[in-house]
Amino acid sequence: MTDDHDRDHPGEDDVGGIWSVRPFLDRTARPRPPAAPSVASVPDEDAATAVRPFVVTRGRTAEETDLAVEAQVVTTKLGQASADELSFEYRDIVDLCVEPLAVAEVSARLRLQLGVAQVLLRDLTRSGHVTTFEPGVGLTDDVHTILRVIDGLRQLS
Amino acid sequence: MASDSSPETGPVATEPRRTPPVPVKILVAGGFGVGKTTTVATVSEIAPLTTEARMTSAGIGVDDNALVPGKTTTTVAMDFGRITIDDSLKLYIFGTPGQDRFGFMWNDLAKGALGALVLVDDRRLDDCFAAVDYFERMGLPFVVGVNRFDGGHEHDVDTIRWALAIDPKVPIVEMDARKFLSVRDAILVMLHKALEAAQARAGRPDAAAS
Ligand SMILES: Nc1nc2c(ncn2[C@@H]2O[C@H](COP(=O)(O)OP(=O)(O)O)[C@@H](O)[C@H]2O)c(=O)[nH]1
Ligand SMILES: [Mg+2]
Repeated sequence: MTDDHDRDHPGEDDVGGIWSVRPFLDRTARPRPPAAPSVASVPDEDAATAVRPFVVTRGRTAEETDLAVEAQVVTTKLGQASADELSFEYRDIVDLCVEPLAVAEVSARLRLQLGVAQVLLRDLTRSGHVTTFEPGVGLTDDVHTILRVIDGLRQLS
Repeated sequence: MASDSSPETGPVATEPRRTPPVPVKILVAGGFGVGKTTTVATVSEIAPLTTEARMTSAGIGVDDNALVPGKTTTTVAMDFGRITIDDSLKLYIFGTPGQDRFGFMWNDLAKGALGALVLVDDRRLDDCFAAVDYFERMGLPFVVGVNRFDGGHEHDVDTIRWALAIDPKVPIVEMDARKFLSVRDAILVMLHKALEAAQARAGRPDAAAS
């Protein structure tokens, strides 16, 4: 059930199953990144500042750190319109993220190793096919957000 | 807040179709077989998903970037689920393998987490040392959840606190990972610690004294 990766704990965390990761998708052997969009200009920061709790990464990669596992990925109009032109690893992502999904969800649902998914998502962000919304740094200090989570959970039963 | 009906007022093609919910996350940690996956499955609104992360590990206390001999690459799986709080807020729950040599993955995961639930099997207390140690060092708010397996009522909470040398301020709750309200309440206790910590950092006078 495993492929080329050594696995120290077979059988652990077996809910949902463990599948082999596509062996051809690795940091060292990944598909050609999609070309940058021909769309004239990438919008500047104004939209980003309107969305306060996020760092919006759109067509640029200011930081080279890995995307947070919970960061949200959404396909752009360009991504939807030009999905057919993408190689299939990218196309799968663009098709999947029509509804916002976390980086970890993309990884799990497409059975891509987390690190591979993070790299592919950076490529698609850079080319404008998806937008990633990373949680803002101050979120854990945001009393209002924590209270909303508490209230929301209390209502569940 | 999220206006998904944006008329064609000249939107740029690279704009997302709509603003996604803000994601927040919490962690569930503990030794093997302690009930992490069960906990995630019990509260998640979706069937838990599994993601694999490949990581290079080295002995504990070794620098992240140090190229030490004996460094190995392993693949670890983590389970996660989610709870939609409302249209603009989603809570993710990540179950993380508890072995100390997975410390590097924990760093990525713990960044931005509101808090952690450390599960303890009453019969194998020492399995959670690594997790308790880690969250203490990170200053991440956490609670200890004692999972009472069958025949597991060997220690009362005071004994467990003593055995784990847990600060009196860290809550210890007894729970059953298979029961929704039990897990939810343990998470609520953790979130109240997170709230206190956030209020203290915000310099609220009512939270400063403790
Ligand atoms: N009695 C009892 N059994 C539990 C509880 N939580 C989990 N289990 C069982 O313990 C086993 C291991 O749980 P699992 O969630 O896979 O542990 P993990 O390795 O930490 O993810 C499973 O068979 C569960 O059904 C609990 O609270 N009480
Ligand atoms: Mg598990």
